[in-house]
Amino acid sequence: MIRVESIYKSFQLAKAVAKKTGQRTQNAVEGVSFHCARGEVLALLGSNGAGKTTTLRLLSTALSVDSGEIWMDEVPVHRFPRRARHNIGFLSQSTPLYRRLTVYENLMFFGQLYRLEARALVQRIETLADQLTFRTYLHQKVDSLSTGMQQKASIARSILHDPDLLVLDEPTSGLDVAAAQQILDFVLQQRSQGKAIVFSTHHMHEVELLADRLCVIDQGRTRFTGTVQAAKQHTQQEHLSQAFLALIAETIR
Amino acid sequence: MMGLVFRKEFTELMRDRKHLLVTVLLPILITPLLMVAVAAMQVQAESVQAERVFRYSLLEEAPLSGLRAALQANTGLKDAGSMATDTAVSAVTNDRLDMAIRVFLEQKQWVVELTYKDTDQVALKRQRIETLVTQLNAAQVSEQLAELGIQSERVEAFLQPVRFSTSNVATQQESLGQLLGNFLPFLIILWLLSSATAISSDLVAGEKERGTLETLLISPVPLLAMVMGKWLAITLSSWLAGALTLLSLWCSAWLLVATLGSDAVVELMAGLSLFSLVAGLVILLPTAGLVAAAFLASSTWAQSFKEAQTYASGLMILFFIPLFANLSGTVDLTWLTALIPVLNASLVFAELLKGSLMIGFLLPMVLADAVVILVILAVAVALYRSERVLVRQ
Repeated sequence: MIRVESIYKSFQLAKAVAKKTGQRTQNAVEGVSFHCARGEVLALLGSNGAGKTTTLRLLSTALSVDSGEIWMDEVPVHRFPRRARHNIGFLSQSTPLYRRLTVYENLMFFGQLYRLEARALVQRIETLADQLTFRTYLHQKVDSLSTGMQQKASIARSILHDPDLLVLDEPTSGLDVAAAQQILDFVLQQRSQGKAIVFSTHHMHEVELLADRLCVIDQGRTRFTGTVQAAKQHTQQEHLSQAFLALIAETIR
Repeated sequence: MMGLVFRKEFTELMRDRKHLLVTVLLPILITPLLMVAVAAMQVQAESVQAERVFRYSLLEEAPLSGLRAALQANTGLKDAGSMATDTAVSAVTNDRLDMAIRVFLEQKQWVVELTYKDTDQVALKRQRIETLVTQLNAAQVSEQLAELGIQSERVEAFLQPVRFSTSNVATQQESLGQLLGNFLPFLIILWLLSSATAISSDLVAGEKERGTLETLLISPVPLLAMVMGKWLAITLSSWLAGALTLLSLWCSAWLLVATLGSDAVVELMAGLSLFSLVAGLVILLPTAGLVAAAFLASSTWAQSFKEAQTYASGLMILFFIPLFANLSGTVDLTWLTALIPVLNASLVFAELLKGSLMIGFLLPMVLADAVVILVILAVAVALYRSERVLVRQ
């Protein structure tokens, strides 16, 4: 479904920083590679600043790669991002919804941007509202909703156009246990429907619950790709969190 | 797609209380209230000044016939008694006395020396004494010429053999139009700018900070449609602020006409006809579009809401330059000035109020504004195409 091959991305440094460090750019992603098939969940792991969010933003086409390739089936996303957008659902960390519009108005707006037919769109919104249990506040302004409610609405927004690839950046960040569990259940449900899902998280129990495979990146480079079990075996650790720390420590060594 | 983005942006703006305050409420309420309050304060200040009685001290080193009597006969003046020059001047300096008048002879000519302290521009104290001295002078001249055998009816011709006479053919509408034309565009475009500043910062830089811009950019909406949708929303909202200011002023002016009801006032207000109102609203449109494009581009360049507001403040000052040029009343509407954005709108506005607008000037104005708008929007689209719009340095 999605194939990421040795992608690189660097950002220009602010003039003051560049003067201090003597470098004009900073590499955020340096040769990350992984793949994720339909009906598979890939967890992208790494400490803060490792390059997870940049990698996910490259996948979503918000940013373009400096070099390397991203393929979605037979579509070269790195060359034709607009062609791929119809088939990608991206949830960033900031729960991006228009706060003065209602949840319904937000979903209608984004659905229309994806040129969904009006009746089908309304039906889709109602289905997602039931699945993610936010029908009761569908007509409330986003401003008046709790973080959990906003996150559910954001997930609905990202999956409204029924994309084959879901890219989720820390989808349960800041949520209470119940709200987080509802979102994890929803991700599992999407996997069972054959979607390819790439998500980032700092919670290892989520990885064990959801991920078929994981990709550990550190300092912008891929350190490990494989199953959870393989990560444990590779590091000879019983728990995933310990395995993760061991993989990061290998880099430091 | 463009309509979709525009509708979404406009709905959001109309639900923002701060935006409604700047775009709707303040232009409708505050502007006429401000004008009425300033006018009322001015009238009251003049009335208070006119009724004031000033205390003076007269020191006649050489008696001037009729001066003391004239001073005492004036109800706006009160004698504080004679005192030495130094004492009187000191009293004036320390606000214990309003005026010190010293009369003395210098080369056979009487000199009436007035010492006063006045900070306002009306200079009422000086005016009162100057009038008295002028009248006294005229009486003295007539008396002396009569002694030489010159009849009183020939006195004026004797003193001023050549008289300068003028006749101004400008109508009251033209005179008032000049006055209003210098001031009204400033006020109206000021509200238009205020609204555009607030909206553009929120619509672009604000969206960046909230993360919604990224979501919009990864949707299949074409960049041009997105930029145009946002531009239209800023244009309409800022135009609304300017239009409501104009409408509010127009209604207030006609309310004054209805209240006062004098023919002279009605003639003076001819420049504020319904045609002027409608034409004024139309003239505002290209300026609103231009201001919207400029603020949209600057907000796109900015990497945060705060940065966008800083750029917007700089742009405001830039737009003030042509506004001040018109406010000074020294710039005329020509084929060249019709090509200068913002200045052209304020000059066309002034001509409209004077009732002397040549319609031909509208074409270069609209064309010049359209070219500038297109260039700025092209820059905005290019900025959206670059990753700078999403990535902070």
